[in-house]
Amino acid sequence: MKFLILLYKEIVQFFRNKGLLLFALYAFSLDIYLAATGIDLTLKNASFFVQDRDFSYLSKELVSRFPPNYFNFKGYVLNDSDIEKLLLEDKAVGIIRIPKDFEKKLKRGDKTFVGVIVNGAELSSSFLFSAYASSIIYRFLTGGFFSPPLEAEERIFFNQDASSKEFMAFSELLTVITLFLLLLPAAAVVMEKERGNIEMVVVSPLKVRLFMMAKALSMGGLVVLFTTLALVGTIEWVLEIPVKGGVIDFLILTLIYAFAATGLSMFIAAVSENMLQVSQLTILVLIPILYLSGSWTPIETMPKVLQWLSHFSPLKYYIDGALAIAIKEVSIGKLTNHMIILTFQGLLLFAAGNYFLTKRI
Amino acid sequence: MKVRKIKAIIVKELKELFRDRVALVTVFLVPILIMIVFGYGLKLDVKHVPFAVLDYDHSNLSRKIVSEFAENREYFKLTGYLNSEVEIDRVLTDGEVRFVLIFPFSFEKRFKEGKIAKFQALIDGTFPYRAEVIKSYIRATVQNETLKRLKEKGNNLLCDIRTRYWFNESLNQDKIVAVGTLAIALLISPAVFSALLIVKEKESGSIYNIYSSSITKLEFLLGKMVSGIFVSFLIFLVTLSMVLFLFGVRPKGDILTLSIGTVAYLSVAVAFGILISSFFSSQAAAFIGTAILTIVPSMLYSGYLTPVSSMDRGALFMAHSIPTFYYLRFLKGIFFKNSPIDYLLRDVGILIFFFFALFSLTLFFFKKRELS
Repeated sequence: MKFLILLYKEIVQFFRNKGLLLFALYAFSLDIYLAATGIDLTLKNASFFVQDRDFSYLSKELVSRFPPNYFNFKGYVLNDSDIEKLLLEDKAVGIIRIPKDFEKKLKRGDKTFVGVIVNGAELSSSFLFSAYASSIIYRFLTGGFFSPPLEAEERIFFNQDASSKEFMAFSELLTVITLFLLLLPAAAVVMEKERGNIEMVVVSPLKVRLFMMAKALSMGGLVVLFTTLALVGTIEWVLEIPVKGGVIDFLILTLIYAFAATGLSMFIAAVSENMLQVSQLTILVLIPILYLSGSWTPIETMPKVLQWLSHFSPLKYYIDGALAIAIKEVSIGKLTNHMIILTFQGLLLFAAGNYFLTKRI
Repeated sequence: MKVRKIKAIIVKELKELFRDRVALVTVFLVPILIMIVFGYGLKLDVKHVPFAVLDYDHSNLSRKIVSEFAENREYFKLTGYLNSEVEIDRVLTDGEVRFVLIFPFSFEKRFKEGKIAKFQALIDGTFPYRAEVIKSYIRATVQNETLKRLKEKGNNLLCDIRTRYWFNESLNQDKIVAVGTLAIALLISPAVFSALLIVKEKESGSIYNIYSSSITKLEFLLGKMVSGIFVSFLIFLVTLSMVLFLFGVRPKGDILTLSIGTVAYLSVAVAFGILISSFFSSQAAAFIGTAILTIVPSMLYSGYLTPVSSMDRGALFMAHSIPTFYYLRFLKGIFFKNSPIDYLLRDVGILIFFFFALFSLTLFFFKKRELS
């Protein structure tokens, strides 16, 4: 009974904090929408110009081979100083240069070239631009003169058109979930510390451990509630992305993960005396576990030590599992490994965090 | 306006920070960690991609192509052969491999008959960028093989592709990432730090001292602003030296211009934090609001990860309404492009405009009394 009243107190307190409520709503709706629709790491509509010194049938044909979904042909440029200006102002990702007598030389069997200039100051698109452009040019040249004997038909699984929308929506949701799970319990505890309420709890018949547990559980519960809103409202309804493996499965995994994350949050609460410390420590904990989760960098690309460390990041199992449910249409029954490890990590972190926090007071 | 009063606020803020050991260390540790983790960690190049093969043909040609992939150890890693289609689904779903090559029956036979010999590559599309890069690797490998075969037949392709990367000749992505991350770190840290500057006094009640004293709100806000910018500038010195010495990126432009532009940018970040701080009465709300409002737009819409030139109209509008877009353009101009000074000053001018807009908003909304 005591415990239920404590839970009720925390939840009421959260909803009375209009600012926090506002930002929670923003984070689980508009923020995810912005991340899902605004950015595409793959090559989409990459602007390019052509410096065509040949103006022949072949050169025009070559330019027309650049598919409009990936590339965006912006026009012709005449001289080199224009090229420099275009790249300086970030107006183009790349420039295709076709030299004089391109068609004549090709037909005669003389050596010639096609130039590809890429804006190297762009991060994701510079590599893809040059790779795709070369592949298109080769295909055009080999296809025009000899039939290519070999061909690979690529098919992208789980996400046929390789759109970033689903991936960005879910990875943003997972980040926001982690941010709130780390911050809310720690903030709730430190607020009591700053106001001196903790002393009152210590002298009351209430057990400090119970008091802290109520905070962690109520905040974890709230985050799961907001996750439900985000999944049903933002993702399925507004963005029209189906959660393929089922919303319930996603939520069950989130619930288990909440134990691990709120456990970490209690560690933050234990060492912090004021909100400035909480805020900095939250970011400090958030960044490594986000990185080790493998959503920025594929785990196989990381240095060996980090690959090994990544097995300790609860977010890795959560992200793997959650993306499998959301995108690969796996049901939670098939993720027993993830569930066992997450449950284990969660119980351990939650118990340790709770113990440590209680001891520090 | 009395300078003495402003100074008092600044001294108080700095003393408070320097006395709080944990806060002092973490305030500097956060940007350092951001620089290290993203600077080293954000590798968009994909390497050692694990893959499996399902070979129905068991021919010389199919084995030859597989070995062509497997020998390219920097990019690919062969994990093994599969026996049936059912396994494809399993290995891709479990994330054991990122792609599977499938060679159909009579693959070699078709090739020998002079028909187009096709094989399939199934790629895991969970991470779209990675899928696209893997696709381009596969294409390049097949093209190399094609060209080799053509050469054997005496058909030399008499056209090369000459690729040049401008501004970053070796296409060293680490350098672009390091400079981009500088722009992100110099927004997040100052903004989050400043976001608590006023609201902490509201929560603890010490704001009543300000309400009842003779200090004007302009003096009060300027004091907070200057202390925020001072701390942020120290953060800038630390992170800049990381860029220069740890990541080895040498600017093509001069450091003085860089510092002037950066102070303008830091002022915008601090002004944003203080605006949030003056609005809310809970530190938790101010912190999380600042974190969300700065991190996502600045990482996604500033041109840090994706080129601005391929954004659609809505995204382009977003990009132009966030300061990181201008600062990143300014940074790239100084570090990589050696842009002419009027290009750079234009961006600095826009940042100063942002600062005045945010500061006037704060001045307008902050009241020296409790709002009933």
